Amino acid sequence: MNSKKQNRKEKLSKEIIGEVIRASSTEFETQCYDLYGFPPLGSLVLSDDENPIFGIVSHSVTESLDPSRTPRPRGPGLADVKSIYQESPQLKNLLNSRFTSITVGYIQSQTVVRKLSPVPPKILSITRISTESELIEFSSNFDFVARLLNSSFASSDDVLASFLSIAARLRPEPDQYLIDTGKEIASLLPGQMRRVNLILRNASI
Amino acid sequence: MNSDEKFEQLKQNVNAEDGWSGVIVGGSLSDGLEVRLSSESSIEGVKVGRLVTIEGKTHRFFGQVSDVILESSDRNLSIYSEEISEGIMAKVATGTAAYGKIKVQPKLSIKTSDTSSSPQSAKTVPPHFSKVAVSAHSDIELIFGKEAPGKFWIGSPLDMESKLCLDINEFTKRSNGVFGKSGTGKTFLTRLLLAGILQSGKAVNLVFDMHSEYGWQGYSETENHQVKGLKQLFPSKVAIFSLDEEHSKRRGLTPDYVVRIGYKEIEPEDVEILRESLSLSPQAADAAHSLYRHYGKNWLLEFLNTSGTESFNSLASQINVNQGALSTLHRRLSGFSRYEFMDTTSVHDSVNQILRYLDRGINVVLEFGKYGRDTDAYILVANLLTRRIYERYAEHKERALSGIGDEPTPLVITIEEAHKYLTPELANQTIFGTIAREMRKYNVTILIVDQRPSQIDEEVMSQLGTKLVCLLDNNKDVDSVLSGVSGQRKLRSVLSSLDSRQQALVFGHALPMPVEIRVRDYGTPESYKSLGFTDPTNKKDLSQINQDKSDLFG
Ligand SMILES: Nc1ncnc2c1ncn2[C@@H]1O[C@H](COP(=O)(O)OP(=O)(O)OP(=O)(O)O)[C@@H](O)[C@H]1O
Ligand SMILES: [Mg+2]
Repeated sequence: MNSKKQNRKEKLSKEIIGEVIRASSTEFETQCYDLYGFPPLGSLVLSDDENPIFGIVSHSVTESLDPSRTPRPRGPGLADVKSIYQESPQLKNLLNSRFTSITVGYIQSQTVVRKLSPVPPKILSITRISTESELIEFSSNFDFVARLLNSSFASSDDVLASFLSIAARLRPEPDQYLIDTGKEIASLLPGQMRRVNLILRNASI
Repeated sequence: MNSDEKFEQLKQNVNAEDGWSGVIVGGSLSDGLEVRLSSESSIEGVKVGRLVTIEGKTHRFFGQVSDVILESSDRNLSIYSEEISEGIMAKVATGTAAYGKIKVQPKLSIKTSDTSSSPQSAKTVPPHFSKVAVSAHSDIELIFGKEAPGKFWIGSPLDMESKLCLDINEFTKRSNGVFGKSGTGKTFLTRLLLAGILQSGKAVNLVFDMHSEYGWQGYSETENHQVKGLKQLFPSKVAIFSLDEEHSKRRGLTPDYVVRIGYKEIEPEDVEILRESLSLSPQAADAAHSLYRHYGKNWLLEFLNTSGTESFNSLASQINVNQGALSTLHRRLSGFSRYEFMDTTSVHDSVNQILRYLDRGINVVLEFGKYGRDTDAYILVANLLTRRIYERYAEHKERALSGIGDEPTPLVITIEEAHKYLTPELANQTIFGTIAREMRKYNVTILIVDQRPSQIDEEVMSQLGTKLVCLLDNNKDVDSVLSGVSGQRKLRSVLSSLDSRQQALVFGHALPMPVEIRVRDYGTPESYKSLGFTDPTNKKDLSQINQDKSDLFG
């Protein structure tokens, strides 16, 4: 009974942060419910409809809802950012935060598949941050590394480093985890030990 | 724990500590296979010469590590080596960008499904990505055979505890050699081989025991104590003959027979073989033949009894020999008179005595005592006796071939310092050269124990069936033992990496592939026990103690 209860609790605590507004085979974009409500770079998220799809947060934007009207800078020294938002609550309705996740896998009959999903998530499916256990399970196999390194994102190395840093922290021996993943990275990037070194250095901060 | 279980355990320990495995990534049959070590492997655990098993698709291959290489997939690794040589990165780079590779020479293969036959020499290679690992105990048994009657355990493959066995039947089919520089363990290895031959009953030994160390009490330099000789381990199967009774007695041994050599038994050929060590000119040596023709069998004594310039001159002109040469010969041969084993009166029975024992399957060790230090005496006696024993064997064999009686039991004659009389000049003239070149035509083979193989006649060397080679550091010697062997370059590196004692590279007729071994221990009570020796004195001790006890306590 305990486990059932826990399951439900975990479900409740699953943090829904937005909905998918654009989706392709390799990535999907989520619009956050809250302004600045995006998870940190490198976080593992799921677009959670009947075919849950894993993504790793790789790019976030906040901009004006109306592309033709961009905010006007207030000039130097007037007020700090915090008080601006307090004074103008309407800003929350004029701006929105979105983030793009690189698709790294999906769940099929309860098992994690670390491949591109056969179909992208449906528009308006909800996006949530993965639970710790999902993250641990997902990151226990290194197939995702190749997906990230091969993505067309300019800064995918940093995304990978951020992801590894999050995943390593959940492990009893973070260094060992980085070494193991590092070997996978090194074998995928033959002759580029300097790049491997940079990724791992960023991941271990 | 029985010994097999112990071996299993030891083997696992070895694997756990410096375990390694890898996969084939390239190579060829002629140049060897390239094996990339897995990233968990400890490259320091890999040793050249190690036997490995490769699981191919349909065949299992056996080979030997011939090289260990550090590789890197990043050409610039050395440029930023400092950056990545520490912390996490060093560990990441190890086994990935910087990895270990080994070269494996495939030697044998067997169909994986085949459980009955033995592996054959490899004619192809396993495919890419076949797994490579250290050979297991069972693989060693499959290749070299299990310890059994006729299969003699001579040692273990390097860094393994498996028993490596030699097929004594195959071994004794040809002449063989034990080589190595001084103090590397030739004598200990030879003693083991003799014990193996003796135990197998496939052949009988005649040992010309130069330093009196095979039959009765040898000496271990490292342990500083005496080790048992063959007679002490197998009293009913070994007879000790002695050339120096006093010496034997001093060592607490009553020899089975004291050998005497009659002057009449010495033939010109025996002088020929000593030509170099007596520094005789060819003319002087030839003079012996002339004397033989002149005087007949008793030539030597007659010649040595000649004295005075006049009689010399007339003898010289009678047999038409240069007088200077004749007097040199006289001077040198007079040296024989200091040999106490030489006898002027009778023709002796030593050859018959030796044959009588050999015929009964009893091994004969001839101790030289103080004459072991005199190479001339050793060569003279060994050559003389061998020549006559060989003649008798040849007769015996010919008779058997024409249907009269059985064949003689194969005989293995062990000789030391062979480089002194199997030189290119002498090999054609001496009986040992004949035997070595003949491949047991008359059921006689020789076992050469020597430290300077390069000075032995090339043809003799090439006719040796199996060679057991301890460390050799002279290049010429290495060349000579490896000449005609395939994969010389690799064996050479194996040979030069042997320990300075108790390790040997064994290859040739009696083994399916060359193998580097640690020679079985000899000299401990356990080693005697493993050779089948039960200590009778121990039992006596025990009953004596019991007797004493009951005397004391009633
Ligand atoms: N199998 C062995 N078991 C135990 N000890 C050994 C073995 N082989 C060699 N040794 C040790 O090494 C020493 C030298 O060995 P050995 O006398 O056989 O050398 P060698 O090659 O015959 O030397 P030499 O050329 O001087 O006759 C021995 O006295 C012994 O202490
Ligand atoms: Mg010796």
